[in-house]
Amino acid sequence: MLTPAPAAFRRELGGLLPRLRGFAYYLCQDLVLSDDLVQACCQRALEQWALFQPGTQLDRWLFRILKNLWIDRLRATPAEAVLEDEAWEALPAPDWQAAMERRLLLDQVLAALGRLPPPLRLVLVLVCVEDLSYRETADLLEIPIGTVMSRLSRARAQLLQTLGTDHDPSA
Amino acid sequence: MTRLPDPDLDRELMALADQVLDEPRARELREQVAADPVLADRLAMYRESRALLRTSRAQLQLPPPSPALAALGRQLAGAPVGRPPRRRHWRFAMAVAAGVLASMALNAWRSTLGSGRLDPALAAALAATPSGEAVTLGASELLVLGSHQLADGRYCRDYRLSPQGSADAQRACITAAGHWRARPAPAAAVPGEDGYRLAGATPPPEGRRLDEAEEARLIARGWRP
Repeated sequence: MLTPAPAAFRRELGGLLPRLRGFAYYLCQDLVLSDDLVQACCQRALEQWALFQPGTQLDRWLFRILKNLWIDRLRATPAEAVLEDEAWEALPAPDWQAAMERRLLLDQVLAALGRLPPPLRLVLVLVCVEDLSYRETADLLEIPIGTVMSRLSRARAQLLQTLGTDHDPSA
Repeated sequence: MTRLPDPDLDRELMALADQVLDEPRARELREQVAADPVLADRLAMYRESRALLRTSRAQLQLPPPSPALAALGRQLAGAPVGRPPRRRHWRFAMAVAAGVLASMALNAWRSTLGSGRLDPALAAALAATPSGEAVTLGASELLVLGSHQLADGRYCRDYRLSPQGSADAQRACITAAGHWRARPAPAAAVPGEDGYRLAGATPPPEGRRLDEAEEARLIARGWRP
């Protein structure tokens, strides 16, 4: 029988819920799905709490769980799953060029994020939204740090290209 | 086509924008950037992308969490499960307390997979618990995710038993004779799909989701139409 998670673990997990919701929402841009992911993440964390190494950062551990759940979901959703890492160049051209109004920024950024292939999106959100270091991101995703940096670079260029700002070197 | 900086230099530019490039290399690179519009534009791209994401995150205000997640949050915070305890919790707690050991509850739950009929303790708890609330059932926790009415009028409820049960959402529907029977939930209907989807937010395609008031009325009258 599983031992229930200690109270301190549960409290810390509870305190991280807002952060997990934000992370999940940035990954999938879908409120229902992101809450589902956060809930599944918490359930898994409560079941597997004994695997968490005390002294390490719980948020990173949870990001990893949530990321895995999200990827599982993507694999079950062919439309997104077919977007391979290298396929982003084939995406349609930016469909808005108008100057951004500030109140629309969030929507636009999220929409642009949603057009990034998942591997690029994940790296971008971890580094630029959640403020993980390149090394932490590499460890969390179990990929080389060079891959983190090249994905991050491409993700940023593509994000701005989609947003219609003028930093596209091929423009 | 404008040239891109070579890959190594480009990575350094990104690290500079992210303020993780060590001195004195950072200072050198800043001087180089000042003299080269291509590098300056690239650095600006990295800075702007980060700033956009940070600003957007600061603007993000998510609506309240789903009922099920809200219940989980209250529980993790050490608050009473769901809303403050009500009498009905005691009522079915007493009903299920008698002899419901964890393994028995689990075995009973497993046995429902064959016959389709839910274990009586589980059925009683399922019938009495509002969506979004969790109750203890032996050593398991029952979390009710949502209620639906099928096109033929039958009522169904989605739930999850943890930690002993499956991580996936389960669904049970009440028969005309008043028995709760397991029914394929979305996760079970299409293996591999929706594995971690909690069905509370998604009514079955052939039915509609019940709102809180309808659900409360049905709980009060034991799910009789």
